[in-house]
This record gives sequence, C-alpha cells and structure tokens, in this order.
Amino acid sequence: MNSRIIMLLLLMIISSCKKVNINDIHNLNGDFIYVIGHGGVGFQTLSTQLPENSMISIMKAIEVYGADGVEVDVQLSKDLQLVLYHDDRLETSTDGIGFVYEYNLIELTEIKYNRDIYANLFIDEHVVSLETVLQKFSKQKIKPQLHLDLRSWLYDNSLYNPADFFSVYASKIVNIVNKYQYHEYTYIASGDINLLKELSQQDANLKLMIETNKVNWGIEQIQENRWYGILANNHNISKQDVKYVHSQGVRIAVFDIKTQSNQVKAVNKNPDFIITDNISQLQQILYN
Amino acid sequence: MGAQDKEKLKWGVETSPYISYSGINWGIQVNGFYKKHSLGIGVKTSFQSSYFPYKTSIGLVVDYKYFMLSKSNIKSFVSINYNNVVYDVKNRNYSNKNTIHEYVVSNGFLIKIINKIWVGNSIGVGGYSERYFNFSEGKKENYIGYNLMLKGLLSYEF
Repeated sequence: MNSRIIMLLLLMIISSCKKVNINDIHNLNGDFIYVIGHGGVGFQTLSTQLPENSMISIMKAIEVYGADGVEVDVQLSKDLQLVLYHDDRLETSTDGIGFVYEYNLIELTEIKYNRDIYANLFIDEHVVSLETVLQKFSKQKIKPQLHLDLRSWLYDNSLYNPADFFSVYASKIVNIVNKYQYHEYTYIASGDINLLKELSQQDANLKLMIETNKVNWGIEQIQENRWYGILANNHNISKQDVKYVHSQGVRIAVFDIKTQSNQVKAVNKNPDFIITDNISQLQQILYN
Repeated sequence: MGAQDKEKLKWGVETSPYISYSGINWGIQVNGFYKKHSLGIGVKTSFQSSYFPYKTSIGLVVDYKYFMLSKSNIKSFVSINYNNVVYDVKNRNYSNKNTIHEYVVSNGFLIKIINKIWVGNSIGVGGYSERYFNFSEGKKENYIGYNLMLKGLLSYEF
C-alpha cells in the first residue's frame, strides 16, 4: 500500500515537472508567447508582498523580471480620470472607503495600499493613475506591453446611463493612448460588447480583446467588429479551442495561472499571451 | 564545575522556515553559544517567486542572538540577521543573476520541548536591498526598502 502511495506521489512530481519544448509552440506571435505580469508581479499573497496595480509591482515586473508587459485593471474616478484598481470597493486593499468613482484623482492618489501588515507598515504605495504608468512606460527603451482590463460596471449610475458612461470612458482611453503614442503596445480587454463597440468607433486602430470563455461567440464578435483577440480563463479553454481561435486569425490571451502545473498546461495550449502571477517561473519554463 | 560549564563554548544546529521580502525561505545553520550570545552561520534556500518555485536559489545566513532570558526551558532573545540570495532571471533576450540582501533585527523566544530540542519563533523588522539588472534600461540598479521577517525556529543544542 505504502509503495503504491509513493509511486503515485513520484508520478505526480514527475508530471508536475514536465517541461515544455519551445520549438513546439505555434501561435500568431511568430511562435513565441508573451509573458504578462498580472497586476504587476502578480496578485498580492503571503510571498508576493507587493500590492497588485501599484507602481512598485508594475515596475518590478518590467525592470527586474523582464516581463513583456503587465495587465492592469482600469476604472474611472469621479473627475473622469483613469486609475488602476481591481476591486469594486477601496476597503479590500487600501485605507480608503467606498468606490473609486466616488473620489477625484487627487484624492485617490493619497489613498494607501494596506491589505496586510507588510503593506500597512512598510510599503508607501498609493493608488496610481494610468497616465502615471504611461509616463514611465513611454520613456522605457524597450516599450512594455500594457494590457488594460476595463472595469465597465463601476460608475455612478445616478449620473450616467450606460451609453453616456461608455462614451466618456472610451474617449478617455482613446485620448491617453494617443497622447503617449502607445497604440502598438496597448491591448484593451472588456467583457462588455457595447464598451468595445464604442472604443472601436472612436479609434479603429485599438487592439481590442473580448473577455469570454465562449470561443465561437467571441470569434463571431471579433470578425464582425474587426477586433483583435479573445481574453479567456485558462481553466475554461482547451488546446483545441486555442488552435481553432488561431485558425480564424484571432489572437488569444489566457489568465488565472498561478501554479507551475497550470503554467505548463497554459504554455502547451500555445496562446499568444499568458497573464501570470509568477513571471519568473513562467520564464524559466519557457526559456530554460 | 557548574560555573565552568556555563562559560564553555557550546554548539547547536537550527533550522527555520521564514517569510521575508525575498519570499518564502528555509534556512539551516550551525550555532556557537557562549554565555548569553550565539552566532550562527548557515545556508538558506529561497522560493522567491509567488506560490511554488520552479527553481530554488541558495543564499548565506549570518545570525547573531543575545539571550535576555535563558532558563532551563525557555529563552527569549534579540537577534541581528543578515541573509542574501542570488537568483536567476531570464527573459527572451537576457539572462541575469540578481541578488537580494536582507538585514533584520528580531525579537523571539524558544521553548524546550524535549531534551536538547527547542522550538520558537521570532518577528523582526529591517531593510533589504535588491541588486538587479534592469531589463528595460540594460544596466544594474538597486531597489532598497523596509523588510518584515516572520520566522519559525527548531533548534538542537549538543
């Protein structure tokens, strides 16, 4: 009985150590996968002490780990400025109270990340604007990719109806991408078709990605609207799905990838982008 | 005879899982005890990325303790700890070795559980410096900042 358990454990270890042959990668990026840090170096955990969407986490992903880019979460402030924050409410990760859209940008930049004892005592990181990140990125010698996950449902619905909000939201995105001439490196994802349509109406050159796990429906929308690609949860997408997406000339990014075994599974699906919480681990899988 | 025993140099080994800026670490060190002091030198391995490591890294640990209380079954101490780790980073274009240095002052305690074996923990604050290759700028740079170290201890005294 014991020997069977040991054999099973050994098999699990061997299978988890499965390596990837990068010569077997075939996608629409010239057969290499872009490594994108999730909110910077990854979402905050016990061993990743930097708050997601904070400037220190974003810059560390690019400068220290050499990621190809970062994926950040974008919301609009009360004074209609683009800021980076993941959750609905500020209390989850900061010393602020309420929603992002209840504060002006200047007030938000004074709100400090404080989710755990380390962030609370030792990190002086505040909510940042998208413009601050673009100011930094646009000065880099090698321009990092910027993947924007638009939080389309977070706005004051006593002030805006959805159509008005999407129009304002889209114009802010278009203006800032144009201001920093960052079209080539910006990828914009949303699960909201109407917001994506508004964006493509305002700027047909944006790389727009629809967030969905329904591959066929996603491809229909992309082909109809001439968008760029699909953003999907790695657990809900198979290798065959990715192959089919590519056969339609559509790119695909996958997310929700933390453990080594999931990184290997994701790589073997051959997506064009992997949004990961462990950049160095993914790079070692890809480049060792 | 008892007084002479107390002033003799004694030896021990200590192992400790801990969390700090460099992530989740595990260290093992040899300690020399003299009166109220101990000095330990050892190695650590660092699982510095989030979650489980694909590849671990090795570093050095130097740990000084001053025992404020030293009874037959409980000790409390302050310690000064230095440790470092060198880790590989590679992307499509570059491969580099970065180094993290950590300096922490801690307060902790040890309780004797059975003969010669002690368990305990410590909490400390300090700083870190991370010497890294900036992939964007193509040059070596430094990050410095504050550090928090939470440590579990398992110690054996010969």
